[in-house]
Amino acid sequence: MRALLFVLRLLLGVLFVLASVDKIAHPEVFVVSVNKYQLLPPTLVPLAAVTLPWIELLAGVALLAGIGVEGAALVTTVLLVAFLSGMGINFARGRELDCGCFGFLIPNEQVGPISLTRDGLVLVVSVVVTLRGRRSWGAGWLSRWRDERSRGVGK
Amino acid sequence: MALPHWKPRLRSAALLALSGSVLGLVVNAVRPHGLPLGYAALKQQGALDPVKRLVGEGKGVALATVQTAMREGTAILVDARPRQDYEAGHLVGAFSIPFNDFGAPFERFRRVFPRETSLIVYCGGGTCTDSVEVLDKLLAQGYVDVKLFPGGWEEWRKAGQPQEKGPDPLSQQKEQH
Repeated sequence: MRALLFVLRLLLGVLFVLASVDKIAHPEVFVVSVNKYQLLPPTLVPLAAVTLPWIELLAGVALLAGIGVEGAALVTTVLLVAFLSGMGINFARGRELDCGCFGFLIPNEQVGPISLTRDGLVLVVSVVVTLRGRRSWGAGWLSRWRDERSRGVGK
Repeated sequence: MALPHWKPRLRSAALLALSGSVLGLVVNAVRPHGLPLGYAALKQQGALDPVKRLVGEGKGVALATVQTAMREGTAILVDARPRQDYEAGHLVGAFSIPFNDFGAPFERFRRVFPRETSLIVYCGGGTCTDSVEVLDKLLAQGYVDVKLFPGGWEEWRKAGQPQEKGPDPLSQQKEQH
């Protein structure tokens, strides 16, 4: 169980780090993606384009590092719910849309059954890590270390 | 119902979201080509509309230019729409390099047309940006003279200009062994 959670935690972490890289490198391309979804009020579009990728990156790094794992997974869960809703709404509107999920890694990926299913599976992984991530191998080492230090000082 | 561990989760999550946002804003402010944060400014620059951006850079062509290219062979026409749309009707003499299936059609195209060839890419017209994606990929592959016909299939058809149907001519050639 702890091993499986470890694998899931790493998988989620890698996915989010990879997803963030191109968006951070090319905000001028990502803002077009965000705008195309037509879901945010216009004034928030550039802000989202600038902040979201860094939130993804930090969440991915936290998951990989085993620090604040469940909180990071909560962030990825919220992001995934938002992305899936956005993709679903646009798919239902019949719009042909570039998913924009992984930037250069999977360019021109259309929003459709494949990307929706894939993100749905990732969402399931994310929920599992949110609820049980603390039990994965290596998670929580920082807080344990801090606890031991403060116990040592108290003696 | 007890909800164990939600406070620490929410705390880490909030800390993460906050630091991410701050980091993003700071990096954007400091980097040389940061994104302007004003939506109106972005829209005006054409930054949100890839087609408008290219037209602003002088890379857009009008219907008349496409007519000349077709008549006099001054440029090769590239249709960026999906294969089925191309086969149902396309500009006379245009080749199909769909935005959603770039690889193989491009390889066939590349063997016939050298990098200096003047190209004009189009797609459906209207809000379609698939032509921009194919244009960017062509540029990335080393083609030096690639322009855009923003009006696309829609404008061409409405103007009653010459069209033809059927598969891409390059895809029909048998491999020479």
